[in-house]
Formats: sequence, C-alpha cells, structure tokens
Amino acid sequence: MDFFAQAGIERMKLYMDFASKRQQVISSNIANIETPGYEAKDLKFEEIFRGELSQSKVELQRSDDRHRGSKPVLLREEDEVRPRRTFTDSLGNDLNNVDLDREMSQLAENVLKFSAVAQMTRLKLGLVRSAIREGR
Amino acid sequence: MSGSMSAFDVSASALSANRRRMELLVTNIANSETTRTPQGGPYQRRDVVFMSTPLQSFSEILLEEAPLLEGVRVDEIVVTQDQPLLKYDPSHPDADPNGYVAYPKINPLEEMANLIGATRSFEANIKAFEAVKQIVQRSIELGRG
Repeated sequence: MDFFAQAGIERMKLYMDFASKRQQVISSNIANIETPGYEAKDLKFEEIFRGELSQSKVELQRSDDRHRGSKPVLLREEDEVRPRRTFTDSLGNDLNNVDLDREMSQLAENVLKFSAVAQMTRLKLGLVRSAIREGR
Repeated sequence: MSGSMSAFDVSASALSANRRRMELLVTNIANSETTRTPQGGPYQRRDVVFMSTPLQSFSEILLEEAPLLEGVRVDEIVVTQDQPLLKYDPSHPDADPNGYVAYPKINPLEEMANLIGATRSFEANIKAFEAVKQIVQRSIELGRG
C-alpha cells in the first residue's frame, strides 16, 4: 500500500524480516558450536538493502555505461536471502569454525537493531493513529 | 510453525543435546572407580557425537534450498574401548588370579573440563533463546498503542 510505503513502514518491515531471519542463522550457529564439521553461516543485509534502494524513485545519473546505475540488483520482497558460509579465525580440530564470542556479540547487536527498528515502527504507527483520530 | 518461532526449536534442540552430553559426562565421573557392570568388566567411558539437523520449511524443501535453520542432535553415543587401568590389589574381590584389578580408564580432570565446556555451550543457547524471545516480544509490542 502506497500510504504505508511513504511512511517508511514497508522498509522497516523489510529490516525486521531480515533481522529475525538473521537471528535464526545465529541461533543455528550457537546450537552447532560443538558439531564436528559444521560451518558458521551468516546473512548479509546489503543484499536486501541494495535491492530495496533500487526500488526508490530516485534514478542515478549515468554518463558512461560502466557506471553503476540504480538497476534492480537483487531483492524484491518475495526474494529470499540465503545463508552464506562465513570465514572465521577459529577452526578447531573437528573442522568446526563457529566463534562463540563473535556469535554472542552479533546476537546482542541483532536484538538491539531489531528493537530500534521496531520502536521506530511503533512511533510511525502512532503518528498514523494520531492522524486518524484527527490529533485528538 | 515458521519464522521466529522455529528459532526456538533450534535452541531447544541444542539445550537437550547438551543436557544429554552433561548426563553422560557426570555418569563417567560417577563411575570412574566402578569395577562391576551388568555387561561384566569395568565401566567404560561414554561420550556423544553431535550432528547438525536441518529444520527445513515447506518452501525450502519444495525449492530445494539450503535450510536457514540448523538444529543439533546426539547422533551416536560412543563407548570407548580403552584398555582398563590395572592396579595391584590382591584383596579386592574383583582381582584377577595375578592380583590385578581392572579400573575404568577415566581421567576426572578431562571429564570436568568437558563438563564445563558443555555447561558453557548450554548457557550460550539459553542466551540465544532469550534473544529470540526478546525479538518476538518487540514484535508483539508493535500492536500496542
């Protein structure tokens, strides 16, 4: 809906979707911290964000074909971002490369970012609600 | 259930797998001097082998995609076939004709170190569980005015 898109709510929804997916990947890494041969995985936000930027109405000026344009790069809402293997410094004898400290800090960071965006969404929805009530 | 809810399953699978491991490690410590077992002979050390288990959603199976969620389970319980430690004690009822008693080859320090590792891993998974819970709670709060 155009109205919600203008309020930025669609965009925030996209981020919250991403953060909850990333949470699942981090949880999987922590669950498999002692599984022989397990490889740590992660999701990259840029993949979502690049796609999202390309949907904006602002077109980049290009004077050369080799310049990067604002062509759709990757993601629309229905596209899925898949987990990728990540490389960490810790590789044990069991070929498991999950780094607990890294995962725990990313866990905390991810929750905070989600909370921040959820809070912004709440504020935006509050504004919409206020408009519906005609400011009363 | 899909989405955030199944992230709970991932942490839960790891909690139960680690609990199982802790149970076995404690059993090892408790039986480090056991010379009689129902199977005969001294107790033998046990440990687990973990295996990751993909929790695939319906669409992932349908589109043959890599799973987002990977839980863990105890795939195998290994009974080590180490030679028992022989101690000379002719008065022991389980002594062999030469006067040697077979004790399990268990190093309590090693078991304790593994136990601490399993506990830390358990705690890390509780944290992950709580983090998912927080995210779900924040989402619920969106509906409040």
